[in-house]
Amino acid sequence: MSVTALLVKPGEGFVETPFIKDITERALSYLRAGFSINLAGPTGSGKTTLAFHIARQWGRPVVLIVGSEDVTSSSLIGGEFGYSRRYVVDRFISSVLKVEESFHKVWFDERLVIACRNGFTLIYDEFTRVRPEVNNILLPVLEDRMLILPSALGEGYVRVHPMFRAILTSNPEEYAGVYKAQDALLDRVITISLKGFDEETEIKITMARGHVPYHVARKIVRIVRRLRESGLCEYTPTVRSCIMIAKVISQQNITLHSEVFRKICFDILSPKIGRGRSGDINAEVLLNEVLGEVMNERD
Amino acid sequence: MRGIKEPISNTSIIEKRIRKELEAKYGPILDEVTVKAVKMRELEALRKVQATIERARLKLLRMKDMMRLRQEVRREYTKRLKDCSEKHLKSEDPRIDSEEKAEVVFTEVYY
Repeated sequence: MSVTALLVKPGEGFVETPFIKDITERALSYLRAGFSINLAGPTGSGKTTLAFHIARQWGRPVVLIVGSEDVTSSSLIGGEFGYSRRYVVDRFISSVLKVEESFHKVWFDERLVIACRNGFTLIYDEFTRVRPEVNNILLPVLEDRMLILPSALGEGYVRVHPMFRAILTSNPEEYAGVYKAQDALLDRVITISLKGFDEETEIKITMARGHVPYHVARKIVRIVRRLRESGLCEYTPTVRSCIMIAKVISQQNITLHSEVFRKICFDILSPKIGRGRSGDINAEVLLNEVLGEVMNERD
Repeated sequence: MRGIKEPISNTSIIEKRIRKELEAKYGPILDEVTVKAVKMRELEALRKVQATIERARLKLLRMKDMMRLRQEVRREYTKRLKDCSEKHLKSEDPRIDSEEKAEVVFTEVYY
């Protein structure tokens, strides 16, 4: 049985702006001081990408666990799966036949044990989607640098490697399929609250991932940000919407002032606007209003 | 000094017994040669029996020796096996040297 560790590298769509540099530097200073961190922020605030970037700067291989209802203690630390049989026929003395047969359960290590033992960086994405009692295993790891393993033979301990760090990500605003993070766990990590990227970073990301020039990326980002800042949308539009719009228009060579661009914006952004927070918003009217404002703005 | 008994040799006892038997069968024997010949045959048979017993005794000794040797070898073997397993079990973490230790595979990913 094998466990995959990741050697993370920045892809061509990754941009490092002063905003990202600042967060990365802060996070690295906490890691250097021996603490693990929790990147908390809403959807589209770049938690997972930042976690990978920080882990890359930390310089150790990464073990990734994605939180979900299905994650159990066994998925984190491993367990006893299957049996191993040993059968020995001893013919050392030809006239004496000695047969030994023994069975024992086979233990397989999972990602958390591998990370603790080898000093890898654990990225625990969306840890609040996992039942809190499962995450209890992290408490002694973060506090006492000791991983406690249950075993049929008694309790086993793994001393946590000095380079081991955990980077957790969580979305405090999400309301479906999440659990409240334990105080004990949050008390052991330093939480960096991400409010979303600044405009310049969003433009750079849209340019790099959507393959559009600066002025096009800026218009797209402004449309999305204007909607977000209006506070009227049912779901907050994120930089992902900017990337989607940019990718589609760059592939189809669509200009910003064409009717097709308006339709693409409508398809991608209207589900975010929905019926609005008050329940009486017309998505098309709001979007047309925002589009009109942004398109008429002078650069 | 007729009061002192001479040690009775095996030969004389046999001689007397044979003579008695022969006399019972054929009447009194006077022929010294016949007596001597019978005596010699009896002695030869005795020697053969003695040789058989000696061979059996030696065989028994050899077997005993062999058993002792085997027991020694077995004892040594068991002791070494025990030492070996003790050494194998010495570990801070019961899983640390175990064959179940998971293998780590590295994969490059881009973010």
